[in-house]
Amino acid sequence: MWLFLLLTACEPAVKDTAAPADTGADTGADTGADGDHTVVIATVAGDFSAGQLATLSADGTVTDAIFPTTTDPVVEVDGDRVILLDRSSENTVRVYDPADWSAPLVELSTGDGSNPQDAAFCGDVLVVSTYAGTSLGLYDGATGLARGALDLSPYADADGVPEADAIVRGADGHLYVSLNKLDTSALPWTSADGSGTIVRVDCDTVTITEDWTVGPNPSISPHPADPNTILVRTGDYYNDDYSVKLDGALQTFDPVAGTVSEPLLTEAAFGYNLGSLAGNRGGHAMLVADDAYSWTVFCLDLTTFEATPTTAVDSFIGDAVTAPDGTAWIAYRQGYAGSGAPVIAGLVAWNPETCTSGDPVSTLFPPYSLAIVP
Amino acid sequence: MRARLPNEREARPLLHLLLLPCAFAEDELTVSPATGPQPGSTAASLTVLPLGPDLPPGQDLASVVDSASGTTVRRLGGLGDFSAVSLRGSTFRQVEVFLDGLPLNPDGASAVNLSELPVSAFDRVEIYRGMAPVAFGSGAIGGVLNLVTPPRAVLATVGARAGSFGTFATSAVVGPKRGAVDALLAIDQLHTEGDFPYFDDQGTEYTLLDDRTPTRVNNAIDRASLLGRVRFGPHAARVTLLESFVGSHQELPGPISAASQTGSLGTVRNLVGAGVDVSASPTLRVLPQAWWLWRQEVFDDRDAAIGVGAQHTRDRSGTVGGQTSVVWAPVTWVTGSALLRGRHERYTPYDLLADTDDGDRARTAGVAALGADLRFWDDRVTVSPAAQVELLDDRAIGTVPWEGVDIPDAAVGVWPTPRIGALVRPWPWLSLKGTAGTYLRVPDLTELFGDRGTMQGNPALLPETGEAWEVGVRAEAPWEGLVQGSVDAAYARRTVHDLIAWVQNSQQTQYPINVGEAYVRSTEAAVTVHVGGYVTSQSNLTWTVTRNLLPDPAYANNALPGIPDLELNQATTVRWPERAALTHTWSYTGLTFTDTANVGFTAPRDLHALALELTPVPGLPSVRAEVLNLFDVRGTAVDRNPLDDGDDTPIVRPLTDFSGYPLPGRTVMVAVSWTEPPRK
Repeated sequence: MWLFLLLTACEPAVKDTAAPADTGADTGADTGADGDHTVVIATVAGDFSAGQLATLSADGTVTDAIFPTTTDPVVEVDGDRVILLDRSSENTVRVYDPADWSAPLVELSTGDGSNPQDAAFCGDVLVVSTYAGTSLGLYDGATGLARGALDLSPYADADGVPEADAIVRGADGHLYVSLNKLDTSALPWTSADGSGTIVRVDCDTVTITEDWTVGPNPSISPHPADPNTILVRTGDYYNDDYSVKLDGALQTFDPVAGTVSEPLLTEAAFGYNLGSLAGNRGGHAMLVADDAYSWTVFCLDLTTFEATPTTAVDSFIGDAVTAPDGTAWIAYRQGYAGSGAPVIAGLVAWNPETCTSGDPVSTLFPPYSLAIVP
Repeated sequence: MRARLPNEREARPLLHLLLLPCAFAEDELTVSPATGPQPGSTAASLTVLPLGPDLPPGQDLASVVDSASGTTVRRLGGLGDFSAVSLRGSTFRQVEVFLDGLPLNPDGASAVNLSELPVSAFDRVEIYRGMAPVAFGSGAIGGVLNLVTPPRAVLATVGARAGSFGTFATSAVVGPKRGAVDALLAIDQLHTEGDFPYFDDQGTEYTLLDDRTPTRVNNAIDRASLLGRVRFGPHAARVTLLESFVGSHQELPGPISAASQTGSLGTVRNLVGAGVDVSASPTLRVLPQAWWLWRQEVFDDRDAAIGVGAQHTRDRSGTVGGQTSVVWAPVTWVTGSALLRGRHERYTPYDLLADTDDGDRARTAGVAALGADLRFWDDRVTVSPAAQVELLDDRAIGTVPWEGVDIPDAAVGVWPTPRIGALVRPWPWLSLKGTAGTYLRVPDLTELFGDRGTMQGNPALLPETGEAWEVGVRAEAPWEGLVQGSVDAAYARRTVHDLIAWVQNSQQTQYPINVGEAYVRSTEAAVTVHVGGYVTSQSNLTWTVTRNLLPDPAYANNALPGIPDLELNQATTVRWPERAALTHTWSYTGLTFTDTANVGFTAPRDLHALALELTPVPGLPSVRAEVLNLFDVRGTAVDRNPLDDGDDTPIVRPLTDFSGYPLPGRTVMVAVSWTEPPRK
């Protein structure tokens, strides 16, 4: 059971480093696979007993069973490389050439119990955030050999661990890492002091050069419509009695100016926990939100931050990413909320412009984490 | 007072009284053989294995049970670590374990840790695969394990054993008898550091440079147990009092990838039982019993080394129960059996970190069972129909825990589980048998009502149900001579519905649902050969085919996890009577999938063990030594990418039963024991 608890403790990935490159025009997302891109999918069995890597190609072909993963995997794309992180139950990072899945280019272990969350290249150095560590791991991008670490302990809360989470490449080419700073001394984990931190890893010197204090339990992602800013989603998930905690907000962070905007959308006003977001350069996005048991996808205007709900589902929604053609791919998993809402399992293409979706694309195991290979 | 020995005709119905499954029902002066129920005399698939203080020093209950056909034991580590048994592809909770007929996990409320039960205190273990006698009142889908204390006074034995990985154990058994009063006291103690080396590939299949052999840490166990029994009174109303206590503190090392330095589990379990074996007449036996089972587990993970978030909890559970078994042989060709059992159980979790009591949960349950053995054709044919009804009432909780709403109607249920068996013995040496029936496991309180934390309850859960049938044959050597032996073979098929599984419902919460349907086909064979008193050979084979019948293509027609396709056990002992014995054991475990999706698996493995027993001078202490995992196997070879048919590159993964929990390599144990000489 503890293994399962460890697995379920990690929120599915929302840390998309693939920058959208479309113009925001209608992409005809209802066809499900338009545009010359491949969706890389970390799939996990419905009972969370196993996982495997899969792809959805541009012509709509699903390729299942590429490589076994753990039941808490994350896939990312950084440039022309796909990064697979097997989180708490295996603690490994694999870097693939998406043209050749037969073997990873690089494979490394971040150490037992380290729980890697995200990775990105800083020049020829692979920077890895680990949820249980007090530093950012540095590895040779060609061999996977350890090349040191960046100490994060000065940013830790009272439990000594800063919970390094998402990594985003800024417009300046440097990496930004969000630190959740959770109190892990009791369940559920919540922000230790109501604040989180964002640090900058200077990719010229591979050092931490600056930090900023933001709201509680921050998670960052690229701003779909403004490459000069980074979206910051804050907020704990649960109150102590496991009721939904609506303390979060969506903000923007300007790394050059070092400023964080006022809340653009608050969970309190919204009435939901904020989840994954996938948008296009035209300023339209799909936002995943939940009340801890049932889930709803909203169409979000990134200019006004007005959100329009689509149909609520009893599905458990994992990840959301944007394809170069503006399609927002969202991973729906079977859920058991039992509210009577529809249950969808599969990969669903949304058009953020028209707020319409296509039919679910099935994979052998339901999708869990997504990344786009342009 | 010695009972009048019945004649053969009278004795047959009395032999069925042995189906009263405990020492309560066995007086040293009755017609009962010391070995208990005989596999050739029952329609059920039954294996009876001897226990006691004289087993090889590396053997525990789990390894003894694992040597039988149709059993699969899975371990979290070495000696003393958690181990549980599956019967014919069942889940652990679909196996009910009894101690002298008293239930340790009624209705499969939990998986019984076999390592908690010391072998020295017991005379034998009876393994019923499938249909168990009415006297157990069990509808377990997998079957029943019954641990039986010695039926007679025993000779005093003291022993000590020590060996690899800081293991040291002692035991003492005394069984004095004075007139109509006999007593049994068995004390066991075990300490192990559990610091064995294991193979760790760090999860990297393509990077071999980081492979290593670390030492298991935080894996020590201290365990003590006591079993006491007193019997007194006349033969017509023999009273038995039973006390069984286990206390343990064990460190929790966690899986390889998330090794823990600090987690621990403290367990205290106490069972008190009392019964009166009333032999009202040569053909009527009544056995009223009462028991109280209490268990406390203190889980200490304040450093959040095992689970998500710091936890320090104390869970207490208690069961008070009473039952009456009746066996009546009104005519020579009929033996009727009945059981009426009621119990009330209470579960009280306590959060020591928050210092909060989350309140009690309670359940009232009952079982009524009625069966008969109808014998025809000069007892060559026995037909054994049985009907059982289980009643559960969860309304005793008052309201749904944590939510305060009324208990739903689904919290009260009655489930009938009829079954029938037939035994044909055309000659005394040949037994043809078959059974068919329905079985049940009701959801436990956590499954129904959750724990207010990460586990949500589902009051609408249906019980797991199953139908099973089997046919079998047993033949014993029909001749008198130097070579003796027996052959057993059985084929069983079981279909299980509404399996209960925990699935993720939302962030950090799980929810139990009824999923799926599966079938298990099990083919079992056992061959035993004795050559005088000099050579004994025991060979067992279990071939299991399992199929997940869920329509979801991710699981459809997959094998069930945790069940090897093939298991072989072979043990040969060469003996110099009263002086020396050398035993070689070989066990083969076939391909075993570790998940329902059949992605992960453990590769086939075979392990050897060697045991030597020396008694240089009869009457003086004997010395026994055993080497487990003789060839120090710590890993198994698997394909690097089992999903890629074109990549057959072998890599080594750690030797495990449960994925992520390594098993020890070569383990050496040495024991010295002394048994008092038989009284003249």
